[in-house]
Amino acid sequence: MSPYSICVIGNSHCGAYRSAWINRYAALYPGAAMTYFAAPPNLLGHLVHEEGGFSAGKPALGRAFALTSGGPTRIEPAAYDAVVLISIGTKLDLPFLCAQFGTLRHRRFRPVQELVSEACFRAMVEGDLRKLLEIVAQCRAASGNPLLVCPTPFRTQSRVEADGETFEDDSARAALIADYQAVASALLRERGAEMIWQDPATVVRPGYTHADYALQGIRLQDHLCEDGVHMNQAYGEIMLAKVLARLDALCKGRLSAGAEIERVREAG
Amino acid sequence: MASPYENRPPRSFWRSAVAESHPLTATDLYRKKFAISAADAIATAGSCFAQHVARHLRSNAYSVLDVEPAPQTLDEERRKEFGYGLYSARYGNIYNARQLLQLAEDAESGFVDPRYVWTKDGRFYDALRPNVEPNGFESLDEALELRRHHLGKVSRLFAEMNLFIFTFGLTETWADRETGRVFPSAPGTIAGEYDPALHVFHNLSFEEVRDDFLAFRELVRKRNPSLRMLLTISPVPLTATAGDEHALAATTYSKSVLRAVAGELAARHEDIDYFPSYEIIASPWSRGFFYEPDLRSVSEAGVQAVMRVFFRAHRPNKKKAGKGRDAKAQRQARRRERGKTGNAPDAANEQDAICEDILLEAFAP
Repeated sequence: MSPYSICVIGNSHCGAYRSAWINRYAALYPGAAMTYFAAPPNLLGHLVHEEGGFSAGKPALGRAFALTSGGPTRIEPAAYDAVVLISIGTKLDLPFLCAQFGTLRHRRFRPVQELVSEACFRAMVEGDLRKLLEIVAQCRAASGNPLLVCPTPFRTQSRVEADGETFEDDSARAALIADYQAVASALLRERGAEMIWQDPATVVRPGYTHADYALQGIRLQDHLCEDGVHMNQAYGEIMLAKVLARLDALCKGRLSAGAEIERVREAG
Repeated sequence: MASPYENRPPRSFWRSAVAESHPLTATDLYRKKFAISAADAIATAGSCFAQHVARHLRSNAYSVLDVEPAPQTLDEERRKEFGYGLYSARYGNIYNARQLLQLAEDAESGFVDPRYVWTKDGRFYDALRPNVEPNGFESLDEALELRRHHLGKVSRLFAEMNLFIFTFGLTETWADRETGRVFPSAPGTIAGEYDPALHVFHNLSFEEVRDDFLAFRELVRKRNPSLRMLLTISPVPLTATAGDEHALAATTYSKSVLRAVAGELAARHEDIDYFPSYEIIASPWSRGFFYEPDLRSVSEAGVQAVMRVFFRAHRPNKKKAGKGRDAKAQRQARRRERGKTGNAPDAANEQDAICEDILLEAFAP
């Protein structure tokens, strides 16, 4: 049986997932193969959709793809059993999204300067995810295979504070994030994709990733950093486990077929 | 003097001023009554043609108020669908003075009435601005609360503005038979249902339009005594008439009444000026070439011709053009968008005005 092939497209946050795959899950899933096409966000903007796939619209993007994929620079979603999009247009910036704006429901737990309808809030989230939804649609046009999306991890609290972007209290943030996630999940579901949200175990307070997961954070090409933005292999392991489990369920066990299945379950 | 016309300037004679002139090179068509500066807090409202005016004023660094700013993540198309950025608040198109007066009275009193919420397919529409939520509100409560919120913003707008630019659209209205309250679109067009027992057609007369506008002026100037107003008439013909006249005759009636009212208001009140956008587009001068093939929509060239005359009289601050608050917010949003996606957001067609009365086309035979 040919390996279950997974195409991963994303930015520098792919580093944590890739490290988790190489150092842990590749051995546990002998029947699976993951190909990463990762590049910094400024280069990913030059991703060109043409003829059912994606090409690098800039040599530097092609070089980044070649480096991370091990050679290929063109992405053919239909050539894979599944596609996973990591951190593409999914950085939740609550102040930007809704510092002034909120719905009637939001007004129950926070002051709202500009009242908007539920439909408008949905449109706001849709606008926030515009680029992601565009790529999802392009992937869907090429293939009906599973399509998962992993969001950009929340920054650590100290990073958010250093950025001067603290926003509302915990309960308000939790409610806003839940609202955002509900709308985003629905938008993706309507387009035949599925969001794998950040695991609650990695979140210390609503909207903040636990600082432990930012120790020795990984960027592309295994560059280590502690910027409070990029997460480490431990984070990658938790999230990748969720991704693999979901894909395994979608392909009815084909992904986990192999000698290491029991160890996978233990690891899960 | 042989004739009182003997020493009149060329602008007074049709042949020299119009027949032998060209609307694109028009001079001296409009003499401003008062100056408009970049420091003026301008509010815009009116029929759909007024959307063009607001857009051009903004892009020329005039300070056009926007008391209901759009959420930043909405692109241009979605902003328009939700009624953002078209005017200084989300009131949608205001076609006549009665609608304008109602709005000012409601803003003053905070009056909100569930009778003026229409339904369609389980959704709820604010009958007094049915086009600001493309699919309606999810509940009656949401429709009413957002109307309350809107009225609060309009109240602030009417207190803060020091120049109000209003474009009269038409005289035909649909009203609640019991209360006389008028709607911007006929019941059953966007939502609700037309019921002859509840709704009545009314074509406003000269006196009604004038008196409604003067009542509006009086009400707003109570809190804002130094307010000045600039009136224009939309050159966009009626999509359809509910009266017995031919659509062309009905349009001529509407526009004639509005033009006469605007002329009288400007002639009698120092704080009211009239700008002849209607004449530039709709008169024989332009030979119809500022209309699109439907002979109704005004082409971008027509809008440009109007604004050229406007800006010749009210010179924009070129140094500040593109540096206003709106421009800054747009640049920030674009930067963030690029940072997030790597791509500039889709260029939206900024020229299309939102006119709900075009929906009447759907009822044409």
